[in-house]
Amino acid sequence: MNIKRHWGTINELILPAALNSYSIVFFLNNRLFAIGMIVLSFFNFYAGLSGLIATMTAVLIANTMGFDKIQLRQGLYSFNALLIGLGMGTFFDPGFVYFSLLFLAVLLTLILSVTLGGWLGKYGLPHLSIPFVIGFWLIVLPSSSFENLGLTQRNIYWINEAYSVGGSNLVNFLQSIDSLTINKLSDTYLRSLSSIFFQNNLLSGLLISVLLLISSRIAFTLSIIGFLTAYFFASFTGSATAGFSYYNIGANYIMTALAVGGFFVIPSKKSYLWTILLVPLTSLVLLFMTKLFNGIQLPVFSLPFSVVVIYFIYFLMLRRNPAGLILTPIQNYSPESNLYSYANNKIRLAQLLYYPLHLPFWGEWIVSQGHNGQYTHKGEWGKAFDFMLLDEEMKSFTGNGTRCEQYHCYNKPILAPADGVVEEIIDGIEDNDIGKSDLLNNWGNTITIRHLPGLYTQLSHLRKDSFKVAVGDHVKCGDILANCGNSGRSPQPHLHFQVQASPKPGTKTISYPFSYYLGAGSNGKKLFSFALPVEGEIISGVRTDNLLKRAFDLSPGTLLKFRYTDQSGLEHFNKWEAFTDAYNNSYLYCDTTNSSAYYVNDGNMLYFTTFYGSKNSLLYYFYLTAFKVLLGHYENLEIVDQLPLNTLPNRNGMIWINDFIAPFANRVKAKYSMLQTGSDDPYQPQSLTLTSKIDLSIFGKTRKACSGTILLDNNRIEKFTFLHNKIKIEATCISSSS
Amino acid sequence: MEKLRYERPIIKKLNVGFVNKFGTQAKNEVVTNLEGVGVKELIKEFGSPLFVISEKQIRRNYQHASRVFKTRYPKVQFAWSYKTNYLNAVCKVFHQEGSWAEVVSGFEYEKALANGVPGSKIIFNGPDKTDDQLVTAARNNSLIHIDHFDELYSLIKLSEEFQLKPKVAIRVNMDTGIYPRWDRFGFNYENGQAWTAISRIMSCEHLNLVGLHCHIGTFMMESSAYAIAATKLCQLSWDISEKFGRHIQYLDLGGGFPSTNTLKGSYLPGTDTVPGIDQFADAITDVILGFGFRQEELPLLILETGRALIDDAGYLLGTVLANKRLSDGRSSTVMDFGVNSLFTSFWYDHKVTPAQEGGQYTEETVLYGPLCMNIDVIRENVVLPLLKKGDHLVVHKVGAYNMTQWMQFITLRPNIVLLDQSSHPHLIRKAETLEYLESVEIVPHHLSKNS
Repeated sequence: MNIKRHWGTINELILPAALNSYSIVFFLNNRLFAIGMIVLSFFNFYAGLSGLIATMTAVLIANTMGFDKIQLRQGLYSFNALLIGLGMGTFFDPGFVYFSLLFLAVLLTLILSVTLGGWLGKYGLPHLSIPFVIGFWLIVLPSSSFENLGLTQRNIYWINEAYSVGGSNLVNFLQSIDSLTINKLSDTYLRSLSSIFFQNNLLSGLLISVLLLISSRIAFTLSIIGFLTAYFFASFTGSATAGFSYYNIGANYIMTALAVGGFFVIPSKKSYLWTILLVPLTSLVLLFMTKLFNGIQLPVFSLPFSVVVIYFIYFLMLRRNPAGLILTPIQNYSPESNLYSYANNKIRLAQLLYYPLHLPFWGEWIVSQGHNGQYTHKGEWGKAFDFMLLDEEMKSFTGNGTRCEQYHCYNKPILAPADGVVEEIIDGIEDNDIGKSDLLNNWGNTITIRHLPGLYTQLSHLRKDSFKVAVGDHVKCGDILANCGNSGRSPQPHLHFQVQASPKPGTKTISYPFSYYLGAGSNGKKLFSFALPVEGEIISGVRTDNLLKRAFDLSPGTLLKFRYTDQSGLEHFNKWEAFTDAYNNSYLYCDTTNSSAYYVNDGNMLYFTTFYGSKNSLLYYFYLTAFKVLLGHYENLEIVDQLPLNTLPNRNGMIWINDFIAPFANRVKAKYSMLQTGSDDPYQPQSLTLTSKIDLSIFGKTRKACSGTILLDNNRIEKFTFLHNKIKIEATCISSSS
Repeated sequence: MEKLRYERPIIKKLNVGFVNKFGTQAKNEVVTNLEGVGVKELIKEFGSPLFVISEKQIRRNYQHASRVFKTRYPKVQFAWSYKTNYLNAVCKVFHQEGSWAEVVSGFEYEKALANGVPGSKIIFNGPDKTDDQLVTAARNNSLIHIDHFDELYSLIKLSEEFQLKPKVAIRVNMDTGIYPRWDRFGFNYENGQAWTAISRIMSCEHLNLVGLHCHIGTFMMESSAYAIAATKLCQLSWDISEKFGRHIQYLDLGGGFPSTNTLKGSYLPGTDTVPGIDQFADAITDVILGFGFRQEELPLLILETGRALIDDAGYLLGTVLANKRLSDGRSSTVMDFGVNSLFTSFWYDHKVTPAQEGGQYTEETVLYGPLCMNIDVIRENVVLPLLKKGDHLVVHKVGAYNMTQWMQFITLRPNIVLLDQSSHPHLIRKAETLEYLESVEIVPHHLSKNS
């Protein structure tokens, strides 16, 4: 048990923390990249070794001392230790004294990382590699007094080193690569990249650039942009002799480009432009610092990059209207993921800000006057709706229309648009004769309801003595409040609805959308989400269904167990549990694959927001299949949505190409759609089949990516299937509990 | 100048003095065309007599009723009562509008299936369901409304035998303050029979009790009766959920809403006395909404409205065969259609209007049909202008029951035409012919020889 627990910690915390320390240096969170970097670091054996020792030491100490596991896991506490390990291993000879010093340096870097992180973190700023720079300074200056610590010349005679590791074969191989005749520009670029790990050879540079390309097209592009800008700026100003070393370009300019162009900022045209502007700026800071610190014999290392980036992020943060240049809201440690999930969330999740309001009536009503209407919705009272009922001939009444009772909407029940408390009721005002308005009692019989502090709805022109609720009552969404009437400024029966910030009837209006409603689509009904209906639109509310609601009730603590066979016929068991994180976001978690799928269930719709983890997991297939589920039973009503491209099943060549241009123009779209295809009862189904598919539109060409079905029965998700290329999954629920 | 129309002379008593409180007599309404199509042209093309059904009016009626209920209650479903009018074209209009099918016999059940209604959207009512039909309905997932204990026992037996789990409801009859009480259908509420049936169903694992049904009468003039019926059904539903923990999915309030026809013996015309569908909707939904069900557990409200949705969409066009003076001096007119086609003339004083302009004079007339039978009276007394042989009349509001209850008696059944939404006439049932009639007859061999 104990061993198992330790193994769990190692597998889920220590190992990822150590690996991420290597990739986070390049602002990535990618195992392949990390492993590549570890291998590469051992090209200089002792540097690699002390880098690894430093990283592990920092991770283990941070874990033992109980620092934040999430930050630890991302490698945020330990990547500076890695840098100091690599740096010291490069410049000093190994020995007992050396390793003791290394340990002290790691401890110091960890303390600096935590404290600087804590201080800057309050402002939402990163500490970058400042702990490494300070830590290294504290070693470099005193080091001349430590007689037992020898400066090494290994990095000068690195061929000897290579010989001792791999014999003449390796030496020959390395030399043949290093002496490759490639043009000056590429040579400088590759060596600059390798210098980030304190090396100076083409092979490392080549490896890093290939790894960058595989891990992130945007990061790769940015590294080239950063390098070229620095290169040309140096040639242009003639500063090449002063500040032009591989390390300066690699660590300062390329890293600035990666940080500003695609990591802290959502990659875009503007972020690329700022990259081109900031690299020369970094160059100025670098030259200034070099001159300044030379006097006291301190190398500036990556200090200029850190300072410029931290200041720039803070600069961006203080904007009031951050249009165009967006600071990454949720860090996915991949420029592509940041870009695609941001672009997707911007469209899909804007609605999360709104409290869901529903239409306050049953049946299909027409918006007889919308926002800023031509009759009475003017100025501060402009964001209101008037609703009426029309018949097939688009008439609002039968007979000659001279009596209120002849109007279709008259006396119809008016419902609470959302849960709340009744704040005020005005009652006792008689209905007007048709064509007359009561300007004295403008709103007529009216009710206002408080839904949230600062969110009130007002419903007016109701019928006298029809109120079913009283002031102070708690009402539930859909409860009958009163009946539609013709009181107040109302020449013919209609319902006036507005959202306002205070409880008093008739205060100024707020533009606020209805959460879900059905309107006319190109063929049949269409679902509108968080939209403002417009004048003339005929709309009706969405009715939820108990089966769908119960089956997709994934409240925290819900356990779902599935049995499934994969394409090779092997049977697997899988268990998911629903959790809520510190920010009150719900997610399904699969501990076998360490995957989580975040979702929102607002009572009317269940939709996934993002997925982290293994793309070979059952949870991932479920995420794709049940990406968006309407919790109401409607046949022939297509639910559509867009998937974030970073969570697509396979990212083929065309999507790779799209990655390069996506910051400017995204040409790939993943369209999700779902239909309810089979039910045993049109009103209260006990069994229901949902069919979904994802279509990819790549540079204008559409093709089917994957499809799936979900069978609901026994008030749970009984079965689901997923089909993608050769993957064919059929999963059966073996137990569900909440 | 057009030649003046000849009108036979009449002698009319001159009323002098003050006009009474009902005012002077209104001028006779003339209906020369139906939705823009001339009566004369229709008769010329399709013959006389002729039933005409307006698709536009059906849809208008349905949408009106649907709106009236759906704006008052969140879950409403109409089921087209097949017996009211089961012409396929008519049924399909209703199904297109979203109506389910309500059938009361195996033949109607098959008709509904053939009209493309999925089994799960067919309600099987009535006291006459054979074992075969019950099994078919159960297999099709239809809603079986049980009428009596014998049917309940057969269904239990059949379900066990064939391993079925049919969705059932029971029909409940009750005292709603209305005379006559329709206690011959279903299980009685007051004497506990309904509860016994429910308990029996709940104790049978093969039956799935999903609904409760009642049908309190026909041509109901009192909306309060529906409030009482709804209350009693709600109470049963509530008790079921209390006692058995079973949530009843739907309440079927049946049909019975009146059309605006005038019942025989009424003093005032139906248009003035019949409650609007709004009043019925108010009465029913107020009860269910106020009964205390949780919002998400509100039962589906099913309505089997027939007559009110079709009656005023049907017309009967006919031609004057002859005018006669009766022995008591009254005037009478013989038409080419009688009670064999217009069955509802036994119940209603149908509104009859001339199809051509006439003079200003009118005469009280007895309207007879062509049958050589004394009962063949369409209106005992109707005020009509002076008609000539060959003139046309329009009988209004004949859409319900006539085209199902009509008799092939003495004459053959006429053509039926549907005016589509752009008023284009479509023949939807051909006039019967001798061959058609005789196609089902078999003459025994010994009689078939001409001797």
